Amino acid sequence: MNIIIAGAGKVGFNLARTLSHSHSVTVIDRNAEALHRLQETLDILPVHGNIEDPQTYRKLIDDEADLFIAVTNLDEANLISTLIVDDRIRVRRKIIRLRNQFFSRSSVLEKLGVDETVFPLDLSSRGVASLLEYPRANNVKRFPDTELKLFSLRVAQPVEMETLEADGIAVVGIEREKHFEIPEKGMRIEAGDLVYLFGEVEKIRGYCARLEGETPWRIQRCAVFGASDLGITIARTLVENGMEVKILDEDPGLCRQADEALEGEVLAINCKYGTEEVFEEEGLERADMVIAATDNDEYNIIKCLEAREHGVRKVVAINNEMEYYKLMHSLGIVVVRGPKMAAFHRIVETIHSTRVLIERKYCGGAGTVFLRRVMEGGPLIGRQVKMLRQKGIRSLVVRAERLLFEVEEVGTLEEGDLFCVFALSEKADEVERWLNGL
Amino acid sequence: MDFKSILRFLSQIGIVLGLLMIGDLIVAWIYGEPDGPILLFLLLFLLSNLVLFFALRSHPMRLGIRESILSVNLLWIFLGIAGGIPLMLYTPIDPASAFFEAISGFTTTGATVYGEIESLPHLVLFHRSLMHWIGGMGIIVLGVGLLSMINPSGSLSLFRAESTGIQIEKLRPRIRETALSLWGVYLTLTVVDALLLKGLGMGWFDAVNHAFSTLSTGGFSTKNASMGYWADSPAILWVTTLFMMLAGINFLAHLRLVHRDFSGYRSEEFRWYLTVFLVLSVALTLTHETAAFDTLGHAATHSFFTVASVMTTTGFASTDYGLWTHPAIALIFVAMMMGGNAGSTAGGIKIVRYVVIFKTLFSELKRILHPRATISVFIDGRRVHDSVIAAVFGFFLLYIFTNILLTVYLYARGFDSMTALSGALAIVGNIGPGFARVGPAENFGFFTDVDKVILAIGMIIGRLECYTVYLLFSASFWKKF
Repeated sequence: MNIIIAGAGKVGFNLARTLSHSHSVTVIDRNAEALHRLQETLDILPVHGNIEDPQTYRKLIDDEADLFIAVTNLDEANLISTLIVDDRIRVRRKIIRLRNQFFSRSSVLEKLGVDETVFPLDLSSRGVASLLEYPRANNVKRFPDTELKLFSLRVAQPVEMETLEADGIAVVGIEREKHFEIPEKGMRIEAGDLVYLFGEVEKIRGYCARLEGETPWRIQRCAVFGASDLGITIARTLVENGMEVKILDEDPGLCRQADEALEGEVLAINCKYGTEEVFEEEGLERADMVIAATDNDEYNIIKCLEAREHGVRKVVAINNEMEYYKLMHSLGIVVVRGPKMAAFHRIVETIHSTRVLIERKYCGGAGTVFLRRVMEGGPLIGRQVKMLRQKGIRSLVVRAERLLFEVEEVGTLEEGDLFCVFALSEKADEVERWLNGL
Repeated sequence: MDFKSILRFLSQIGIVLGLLMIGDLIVAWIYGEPDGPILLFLLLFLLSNLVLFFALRSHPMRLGIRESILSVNLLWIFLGIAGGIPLMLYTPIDPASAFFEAISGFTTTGATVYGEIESLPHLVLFHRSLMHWIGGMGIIVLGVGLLSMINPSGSLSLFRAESTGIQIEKLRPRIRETALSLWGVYLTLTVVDALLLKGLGMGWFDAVNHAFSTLSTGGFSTKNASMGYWADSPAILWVTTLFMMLAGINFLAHLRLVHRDFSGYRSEEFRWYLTVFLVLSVALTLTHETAAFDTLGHAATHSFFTVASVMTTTGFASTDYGLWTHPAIALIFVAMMMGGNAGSTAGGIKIVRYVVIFKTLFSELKRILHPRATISVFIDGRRVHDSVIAAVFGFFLLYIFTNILLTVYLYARGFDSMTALSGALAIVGNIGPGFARVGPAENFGFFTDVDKVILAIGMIIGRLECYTVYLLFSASFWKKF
């Protein structure tokens, strides 16, 4: 594909790095320094210029592109660039990143002919919100087309995979000693493993309850470090879910801003002078969950460690830089993608997903899941399909929200069946080819 | 260091090279020359590379910066050996001479060890020109273009290792597409040149060989007198002058022309290239005319030809310019220091580096007068990055340093100062002929085996623009930490 990326910031850079492996990528930015850095490391075409300036697009040799992605920090620039690029060259698909949630409800985007939009703040805060429903989960992922969800949780005692699967819960990934793998049949789950479970929410919840044998633990009190836009959005989501929330920041200005934005519903605390006392004074050690939501990953890690030191059970860090994901993960911190990471992942998923095929990454990108729906009147109905079986790939079929593991169980395909293939990300291309070839 | 990846890369290039050398075999068949040795060599060469390639097929290609640099260095030694063997099979020369001749071919230097060229088999003559042609645009460019074999970051560092210091320019996002288009332009120009030469009276064989040699700015000829053989037909000399100059221009400019974009020819580098060429040529015409009592036309033909030949580091001779007067030789010396444009097939220092150097020097002067001013160097309206300026100055110093080393070596070996100095310049600049004992009418056959290997290394240093070779001598290159 011929892809144009407007903006060479963090999101633009990561997109260029990922996409340039298999696509022709052109990156436009007015920061010559950033472009220079890109050009030094990636096989892409850098174009120096303002994305809102029609002249910039004259520098392109081809007069058509398959995909235009606008990911600068400014909504206005992103919106205008989609209009201008349309005027200059033929673009088949446009994806833009927006901060202002207003656009998700308005008809502006439709009028502009934008195909897909990504709202990074929304994505991040939803990531946090899903943790509220399932306190024991490290992470929860939902998918279009099915009610089944992908949970990740840390296991406290060993368990046989077959016991779980007999209950209709699929084990689709295990992270053991920092190494991620797709489990094979009959594997034993050891204590301390981080397992990825796919199935019905209630079943997994039931499993969790059995696992610990105590009364289900609820999240009621939350503390949020960082009162910038993201912190405010997260705090608002928490309040809407009936939580008691305190928001903390070192910057008094941001605290005031948060107080105003949240209309006094949340206590905004300035913690400039010593967090140690703040933990005591504000009773933060009694919080059920502490979320470090600044745009500085180092600070987030420190705050999480501090909170855990004070006995907080669940510590969540917002991850802004890919490099820190692994570190956070191995420190036992629950990681939620920050706006930039969320935007990056969602855009990559959107590009690789089609109307029929949906792609999602999990475990920090180590695993990939593909979903393919058997369409009404499609060629797959009534056919028997041999499942893709290989090391590092696990395929299942979901029929009427029920998991089917074996070919014999599946029999012939019916309308509405959903193929779910979980694979190591290095095998993603192979799986995609197989699913598209069905 | 991932040696398996390096081997896999070398075997892949070996396959491409082997396929291209089938051309030798075809020439042998056309001219009824014995095809046994070359057939056997090609079979063994291709087979061994294929075996190596298939053995390493499943090994993931991981060429980082270090691997790329080592690969490129090893590749040139590999080319010297692979290109030298056919010469040894068909002519009675020793391995050192064959290595020298092959490196001279692939680096498009054009210095030869053969005294009597016209008696060589057609196959050998064609093989020499073919080496020029392959080396001109660069076999890595071809390798990256033809085979989508190298991971995206790997091909980038390979490109960088082959030519350092100047930013990689592209028209399209992927380096592969640009590489292939460049070869397309190169091939087209070669065909046009060959047809023109044939039309102007050369035989097919000479026309093809000289077109190969001209577009790659190499300099091997099929005649003892080089292009002087056609001194009676000025049209051939002028066409060759034109194509040498075209080969000395950034090929991306030609490629842009395909997209009806003339901006490539409006670059500062191109303007200076043309200016330097015209000034030197006119000056040489005038000195030559007053000295040798030639007609203006005759003087202009040979002067323009010689300046183009030396400046683009081709090394053809239309006449023995070694016999010209001192002012003329001084002018040719200046031309020897020039080189073509970046991104061309020409070697040498290259005009863009002079532009950067002089602009930086002038900006330094300005800085003395205006200590508070922010002064940057601009080329084609774009600010030149500080790291690029440092790299250019570093290259210039290394280049001069290499020349001094080689001059001192040759002088110590007992050759006269003119031979030592001009020989070093001609070798490192990939020009070919110098003056005195290595003049246009002479050859490099009289050097000892050790000399030849050292000179061959000098050519590789020049071709790889110094850094890539010298990096091997730095301790940090080999350190694991």
